[in-house]
Amino acid sequence: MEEQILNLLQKVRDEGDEAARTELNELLRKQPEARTIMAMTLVDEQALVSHLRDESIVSILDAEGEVATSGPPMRPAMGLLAWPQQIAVALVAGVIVGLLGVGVVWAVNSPKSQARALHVANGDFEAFSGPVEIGLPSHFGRWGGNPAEVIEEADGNRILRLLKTGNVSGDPDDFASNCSVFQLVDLSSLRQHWESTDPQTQVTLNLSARFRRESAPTDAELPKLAGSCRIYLFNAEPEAIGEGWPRVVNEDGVGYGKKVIKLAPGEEPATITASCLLETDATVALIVVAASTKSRAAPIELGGYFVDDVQLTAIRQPTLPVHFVK
Amino acid sequence: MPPPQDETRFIEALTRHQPALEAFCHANLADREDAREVMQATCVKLWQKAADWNPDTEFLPWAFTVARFTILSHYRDRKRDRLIFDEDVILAMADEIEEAATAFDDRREALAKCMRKLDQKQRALLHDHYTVSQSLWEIAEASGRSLSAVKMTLLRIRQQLSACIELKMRTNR
Repeated sequence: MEEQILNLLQKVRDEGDEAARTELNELLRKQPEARTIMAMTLVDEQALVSHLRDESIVSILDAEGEVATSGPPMRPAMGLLAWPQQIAVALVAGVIVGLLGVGVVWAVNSPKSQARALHVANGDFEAFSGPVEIGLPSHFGRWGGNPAEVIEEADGNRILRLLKTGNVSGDPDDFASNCSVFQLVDLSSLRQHWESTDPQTQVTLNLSARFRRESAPTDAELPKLAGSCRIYLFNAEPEAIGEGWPRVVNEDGVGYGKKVIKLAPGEEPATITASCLLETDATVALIVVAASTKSRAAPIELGGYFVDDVQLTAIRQPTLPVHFVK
Repeated sequence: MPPPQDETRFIEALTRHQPALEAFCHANLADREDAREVMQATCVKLWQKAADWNPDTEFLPWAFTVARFTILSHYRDRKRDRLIFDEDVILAMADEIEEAATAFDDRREALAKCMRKLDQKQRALLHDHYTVSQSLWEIAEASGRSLSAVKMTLLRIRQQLSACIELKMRTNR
């Protein structure tokens, strides 16, 4: 009966088939079982739409060239919950600026900055070698994620090697566009240190890492391979982040920053920095270094992507004065 | 508009149960545009009637009642443009829909697990149809497949997901 109901529903929706509509309603009138199936089918359909919508939000966050990488750091106060609204606000602002012919000039009054390094456990990967734990870490100060390992190079330097794309849940059937390695960083010490200071200041978190790419057998299959640094800020317990991933980004995320780099095999290593403003209610930073294939394909070996010298720095500076000049 | 007795608890409850409420509207109308419209109207009505809700009682049954009246009002407003279900059918399905929508969170969680069993092509089809809102005809044209083949594939995926969700729901009971 389920097949009959789905078929009829599809005909009504896609073809506007009036005979199918009559038949469907008649079936629902007469058969209690049909009503149960229909109710569950439609509730599950809404669950499916909701699930796909959440997946899309994560894809948007993963997409390259978002605001945080190209302009000033994103104001987390706008929040991750409001992507469509942010886009709408940007469009409206753009239209208003365009219509009024107003030029906007940012005038910066030489702010004095203070920098403070935040502890990234084994950020230089010198403390151990071997495979990285699989899965998103649930505690502070541990690397974990998709298949990756710390190897020792000929000169004795240890470096993170991204091995294979995967998904954080570890499910082999799930889509796998990235090889990501994560670490949770506790922001409470930073808050204690700077909490009593002048509220007329803002704090920016900068996540930097050095990326290197060497030739690998799968290079031909990875034309869009790119390295990235990402910071997610949460107001949540560390355990809840892994358990709720990726939905937690939508529900508890309060800030985000990303920087992407494209390296050709054998090209000079490069350091990139992702930034985001520290929202006052952020308690945890999730830092991520990743290589992304830009396609939702089956897991694929990378082999030639390396990351080193991961550093997280907080920079406090007076809130920038802004002057609007007509 | 009377202010809610306990504004914070009301907003918390509405936020918490909004997905289930959305599913309730969708199940009554079987059309995403109509459901979205009714959902918006329902949220406004819930806010206007917030003072009627006793925070010590369950939120969802009360919200479903408000939503049901909104749906029927929408139905009567739109009667000229035929909706998918007739009014008597909406009324006949009331209990089944309420029961299924009440279990929305569990069903969504089960669905998330079941989605992992789908392969890339199946996921892509669902994404194109339900997120990008491509019609089956557009999908068929873009993929070079026949319309009936795309229809059948979607049908099979939906059946596979339904069976998986049911299994997980039974296992968790």
